[in-house]
Amino acid sequence: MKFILAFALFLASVTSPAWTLKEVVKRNSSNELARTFQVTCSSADLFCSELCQSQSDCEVSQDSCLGCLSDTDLVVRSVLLDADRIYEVSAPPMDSNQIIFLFSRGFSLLTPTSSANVFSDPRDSADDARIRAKFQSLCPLPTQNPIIILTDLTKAVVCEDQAHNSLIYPLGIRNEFQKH
Amino acid sequence: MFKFLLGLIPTLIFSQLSLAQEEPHLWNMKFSNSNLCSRQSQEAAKQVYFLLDGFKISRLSYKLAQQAGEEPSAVVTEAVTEFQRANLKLTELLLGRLASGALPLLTDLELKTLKQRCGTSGMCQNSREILEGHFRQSELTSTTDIPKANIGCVLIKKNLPLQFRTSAPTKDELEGLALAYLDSGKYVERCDSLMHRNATDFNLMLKFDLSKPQTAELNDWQSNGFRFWDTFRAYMSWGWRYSNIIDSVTPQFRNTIKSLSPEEELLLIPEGCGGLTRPECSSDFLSANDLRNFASGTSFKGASKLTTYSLVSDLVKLREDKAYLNEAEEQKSAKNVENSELLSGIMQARTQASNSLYQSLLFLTAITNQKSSADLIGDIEKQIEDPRTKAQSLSDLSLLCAERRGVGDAKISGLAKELQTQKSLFENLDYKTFPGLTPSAAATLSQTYFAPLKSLCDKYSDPFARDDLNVVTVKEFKPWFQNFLSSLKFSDYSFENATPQKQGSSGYVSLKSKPLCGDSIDCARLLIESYVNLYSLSFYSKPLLSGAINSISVSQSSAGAVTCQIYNPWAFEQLRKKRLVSDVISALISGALYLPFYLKIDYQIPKVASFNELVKNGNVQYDANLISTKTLKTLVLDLGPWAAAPCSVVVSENPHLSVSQAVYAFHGVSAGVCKQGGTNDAVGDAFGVRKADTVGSSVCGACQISFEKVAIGLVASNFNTFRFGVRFLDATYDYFRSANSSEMPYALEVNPKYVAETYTKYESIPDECVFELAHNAKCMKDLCVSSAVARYEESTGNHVAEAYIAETEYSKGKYVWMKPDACDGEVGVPVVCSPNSVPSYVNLRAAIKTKSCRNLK
Repeated sequence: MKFILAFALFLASVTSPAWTLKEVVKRNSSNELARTFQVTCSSADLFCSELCQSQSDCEVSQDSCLGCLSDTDLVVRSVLLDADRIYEVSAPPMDSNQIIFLFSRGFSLLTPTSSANVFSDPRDSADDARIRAKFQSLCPLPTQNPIIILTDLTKAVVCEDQAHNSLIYPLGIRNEFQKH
Repeated sequence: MFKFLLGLIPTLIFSQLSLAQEEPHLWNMKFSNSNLCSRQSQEAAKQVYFLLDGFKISRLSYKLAQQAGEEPSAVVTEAVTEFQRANLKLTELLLGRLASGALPLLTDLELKTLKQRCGTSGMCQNSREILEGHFRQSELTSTTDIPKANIGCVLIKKNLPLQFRTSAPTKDELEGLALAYLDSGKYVERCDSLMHRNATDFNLMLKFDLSKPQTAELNDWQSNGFRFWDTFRAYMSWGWRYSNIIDSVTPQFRNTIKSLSPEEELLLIPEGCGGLTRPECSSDFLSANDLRNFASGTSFKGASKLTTYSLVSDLVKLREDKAYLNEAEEQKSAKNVENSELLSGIMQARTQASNSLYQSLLFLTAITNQKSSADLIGDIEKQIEDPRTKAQSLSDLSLLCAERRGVGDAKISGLAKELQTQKSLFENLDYKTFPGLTPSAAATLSQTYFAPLKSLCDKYSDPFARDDLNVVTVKEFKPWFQNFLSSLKFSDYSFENATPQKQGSSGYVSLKSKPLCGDSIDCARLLIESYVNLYSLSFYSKPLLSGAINSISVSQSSAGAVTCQIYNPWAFEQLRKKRLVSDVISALISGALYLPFYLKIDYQIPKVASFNELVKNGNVQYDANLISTKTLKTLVLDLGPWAAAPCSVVVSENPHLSVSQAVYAFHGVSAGVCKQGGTNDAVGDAFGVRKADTVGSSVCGACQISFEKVAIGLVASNFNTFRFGVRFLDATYDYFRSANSSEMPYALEVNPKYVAETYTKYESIPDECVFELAHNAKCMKDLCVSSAVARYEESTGNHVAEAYIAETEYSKGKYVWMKPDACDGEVGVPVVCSPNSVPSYVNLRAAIKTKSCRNLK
């Protein structure tokens, strides 16, 4: 079973676009420090032209969220505290169409260091390291900076392949935690 | 269309509705005794402190700066400043529009609809249309039609001495206030100064004052006060998210600010004893009122109640132990509350509540998924039968079974009884999204384990009946059950060293090989504990899980006790009048009919016997059943005329009668004896507290050489007229003596200007000045004089350095003669007062002015 999944993952990685997704914080046109996500395509790809409307790099920015940084948000809490215990990769990486569909809807991205993590103290790097380790354990291959994507309907994790290209895996609830 | 309308806001904010900005000054500090404060707790406050938490915006902007490679401290200062400015403008605009009538107050029906649509959560998509409609309308109202709002706004840079006090000020505190007045720039400044300088503190405190006359609707504050604050809170929740106000004030931080929520960042504190939410005897109101316990630094687990009933019954206990109440209130109010402590206390409680909800749901989802009730029971039985662990397991089982009865046996547990009838409360939490089970589903599934657990416990005898339930055992219980036991008052336990949760090397239930609990018995106990935690959270959801913008009273507050009829602050005063009338009538009858008897009727204040409960929309409403008013009769038989001795016999239903109370008003040497019956105190039971009916009696006999008896000998021929006189005097004496009771309302007021004046003159506050200064008067060694001078100064603005009281030759009565600085002569103001008391009458209009002062105001 594991072999089949590994093969499927490998196969999918071949068909996935070659690109990277990275969190960047910079001033926007209103001079606001805003979180954006830098998409960099390593080769000319239909995916990039669709996502970025061009062949080269672009930025995706998430919708501004209203009151989303809450002490009492249980979903964000579950991702930051127990990402590895509750979630697991549930399917092969998304293909171009799935990624474009994902970004076309309201989404928010979560990284250990990002400002969306209101739980950890920015001056305590150990906190961030613990969260990063949990995120990393979701990825099939070692990934330096994994990103969790949250939408109303789905959760996904952005990991890296051997060539350090980004792969987006849908996340599901682990069997131990799911009502059969 | 709507976006276009919202675009108009920026121009309106700064032009039409800027609030009346007065020069900052320290206001008069008002103090109410416990009785008056309880009365005021049922009214809406007109002045409110607005406390904005800067912690999260600081953390957020620090992270953003760090990621952007900018200097964090500069970005944090800018972000906090903009956060404070945006909130000042948003609040000013909303308060201004509401107070001027441009934005109508929401009707009771609209407020009810909001509550129904959004459930426990104070803000939801469904509330938008109602609020947006009104707001849009207020935008369209011609700007010239909007009357100017009349709202005071002061920015508090440093909390003032006495700011959150309600008890009488001391000399030292008055000296602190004088120093603050003399250096007021350090304490207060104009609100709009925030627009011209950087934030100086992470937290912002503003004081808004609506006590000046407003629209006709608001002038009827008694009917509309609470509705005003409910409306304001609803618009604040909406405006922060959906209006364009924050965007227009601070485009460069709008998204950052809007990603936070006003329900978590804002705290409203009413000035004095009034409230911002209409008091009602319900779990919603009482749990929100409990917030002040968390704010004082007690953790959520330490201060939260297990049952909704304990929200009310604890108030009964508090009232019955008055000494404790006064001491606790005194300590709380005497402590100078720091804003940062308040905010961090509440934030901590919110984090703990949220964490408790998360951990409970995590565990209940995992255990109900991994082990069916049959699995669990089977595994517990196996564990018990295993000879290697049998002894320990049986001991653990006894703890489990005792805890099971706590949630399952309504005969011994109020919690179990509530869980049978108030299951719907779990739905209060369902608006919280969680990746596993919803809170109500988790509760329902947990309940399926209870019946099999009961059968298991019955099979292995009833461990709760064990007679070795001692301190050691109690410490082994889960914290909730220790809390439960302590509420039953079994005996004095020490709960300090609760045993930590068992963690087996490989847990019976685990997630990704990380154990969530120890063996099967431990996991069953954790299931019950998680279920109980969920229940407790279900009625704290609104104040602690971001349901609504919170308000707390940091001064003493008996709002809950009064609204639940546990304490009636008006009762004593009403009974006092009733007693006077009854005593006078009785004296009259006994005097006129030449009776040697005298009947004294003592009216009792009704007391709460129990509560009826009604669950409605996730809110448990309590209705008090009062023990009807009972009278205690005392019969005085005067033996004097027959025994030729100054003796009387008193038979009374009142168990607390003493010899001295039993005889007449004038006492000489006396000897007597009283035999008093017993009383039953409050009894605690699993369902709360029922106050037992007071039973008892007194029989007193006394012989004395008294003024009355001596007088009888002298005026024997007119005995009854004289005796009537004595009793009439006794009755009125009782009446006026009771005016000084702590059960009568009493207010103090300190004018910081007078305090500072006194301080400057004497370089400290002399002891003899404290009394006058606490009565809103200057220090002139006679309260009658200084009060009259204070009223004169307030009315005319003329400063008076010296004054004295004297009869006048022009007319009858007394005048206070003042020497204003502005003229050489004197101004005489007619007053009526007894020496060193507040004048009952000061007529400034009838003031007499000597020649050089005639041109004065």
